[in-house]
Amino acid sequence: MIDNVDLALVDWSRAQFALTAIYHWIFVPLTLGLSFMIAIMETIYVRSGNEEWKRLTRFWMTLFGINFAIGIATGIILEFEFGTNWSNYSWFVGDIFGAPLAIEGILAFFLESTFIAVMFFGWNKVGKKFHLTSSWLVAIGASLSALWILVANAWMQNPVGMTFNPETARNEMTDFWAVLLNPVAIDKFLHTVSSGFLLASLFVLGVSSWFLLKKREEWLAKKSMLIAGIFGLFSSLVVAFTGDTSARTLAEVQPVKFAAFEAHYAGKQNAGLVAFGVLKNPDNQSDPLKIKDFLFKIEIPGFLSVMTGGNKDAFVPGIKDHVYGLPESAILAVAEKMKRGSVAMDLLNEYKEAKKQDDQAQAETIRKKFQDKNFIDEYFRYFGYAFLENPEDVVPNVPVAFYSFHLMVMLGFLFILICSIALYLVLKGTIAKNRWFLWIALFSIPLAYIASESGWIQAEMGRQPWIIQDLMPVSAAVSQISPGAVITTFILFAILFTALLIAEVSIMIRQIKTGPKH
Amino acid sequence: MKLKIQKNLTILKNQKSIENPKNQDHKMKPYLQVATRLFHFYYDGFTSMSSWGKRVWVIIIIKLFIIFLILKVFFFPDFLKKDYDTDEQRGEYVLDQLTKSSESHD
Repeated sequence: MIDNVDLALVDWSRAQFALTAIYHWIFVPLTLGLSFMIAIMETIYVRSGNEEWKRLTRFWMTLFGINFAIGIATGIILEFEFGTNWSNYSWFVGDIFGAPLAIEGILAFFLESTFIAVMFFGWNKVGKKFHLTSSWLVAIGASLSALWILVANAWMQNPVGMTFNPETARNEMTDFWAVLLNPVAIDKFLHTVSSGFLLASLFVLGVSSWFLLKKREEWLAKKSMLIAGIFGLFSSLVVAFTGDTSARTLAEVQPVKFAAFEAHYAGKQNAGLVAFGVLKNPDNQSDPLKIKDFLFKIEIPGFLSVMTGGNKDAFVPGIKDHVYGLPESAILAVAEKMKRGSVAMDLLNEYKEAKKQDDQAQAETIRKKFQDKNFIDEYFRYFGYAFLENPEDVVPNVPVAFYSFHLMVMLGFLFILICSIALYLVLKGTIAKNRWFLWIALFSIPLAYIASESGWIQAEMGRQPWIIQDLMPVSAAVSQISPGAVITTFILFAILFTALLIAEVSIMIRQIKTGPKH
Repeated sequence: MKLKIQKNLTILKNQKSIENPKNQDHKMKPYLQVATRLFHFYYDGFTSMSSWGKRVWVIIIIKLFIIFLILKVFFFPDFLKKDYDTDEQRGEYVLDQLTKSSESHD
């Protein structure tokens, strides 16, 4: 794509970031969801005064504590990588990324050092209500902490509320509320956090099922399943709803990614939603788009048109339309965007030259131009296209986007079913007898993690080649460092994180086998 | 004899009241009282921790050591801060990088 960038460096830097993020995300969703369920369980204990609920709360709190402690600081490594591997990007995003991350850091510090300490050390030392308040604050704080990270991520998917300053080569935040209330941020926050709640519900269902399969702690298991069933069903419906709104937002702000999710190459009316399908290799190898047709597919006719346009006659543009343009739908061709991006880039070069010649008047004129709304809308918004070599470079890896998206959606619907059945059987009082379901619930734990990670894979792989949508491709974002250094740290991380994961799983299994204390 | 025992008991009681920080609280300034209580809250929490808690803390300490004292120091220097002294220089460098990257296919 870009000749003077070492592709091995870009690929290894991406692989390292992906590895770190995937491992980090193993710990986060359980923390998000389990903290709320613990707060609910403790609320029942405080209201009822039943000591069995306290025992139940403390058992899940132990598992929460193990997960929280092992996962702590794994996210900080991502920030190290920004500074070392992605320095151009880190500088270019300026305070837009820094501000939310700083808020998250402060929140996390206060949360971890105070309320979590009360949760674990405060039993019988502080009042019941104060302890309960701390548990709720930990739960709310964890989700608020996630909010800022997701706001920063959403800005990368849909950059808003800033202007570029050529003098500092940084984007400067001009509208904090636009960044916070970015439609992608709202969708992403609700979808991600509710998916964490769902994962934790499935975790509680699965572990409780294990107790029932072993004929141990029946009361604890059934009560836990009741809470997890209600919480999980509610969360799974929110996940489905916010998934739908996220897709609608994506169709507007990241249309190529949206089309890649459906492997939707050619735009059409009455476009069907592919529920399941298998892609085959391109028929025409010389085609620059490398179009992959379906070997077979199960499609819901017209549903993609209804989703995006409100009726089945709505036209849904495909990948080809976004690459080569479609004037009747006001879709600019990538070639045109490349030209416009180059105009912005040329102006940046002129600015650099003016500074070199010490022509302050010219530099100031250009600086003001970068703040002009018309220039931003017509040219600077396509700045990243100036880095591309071919229009087809905007197309992500379609099979990865398609399969990860569909896997996530299919598992999401399966989880709605699992939570519904769990709740039904618990309320009917026959959950312990239905051993087939207990096994399914137990095996839904790894499936929940697969769905959760797939969600991130489709979100991040689907937006390639962009690190910041339309403004900066990944190849322009990397630091000029040796690929060898990145490979070394990749291996180090792989070892460190695998060790942490083994530690987490083994300590957790031991605690589950020990069961709640009497 | 009875009087002597009573006297000893009173001394012991007084000694205990000095050793017990809770009894000292009323003599301390309010912020010191809070600090002492906080210290004891954490101290008691850590000393009476369960075996899984201790195991997890060992992992946390090893992990933080590896992350901040090995990875950060030796493998993850801030690229721009390491090579450039001022923000102006860093900005110029990134500007050069961005414009160079796009030149290659012009």
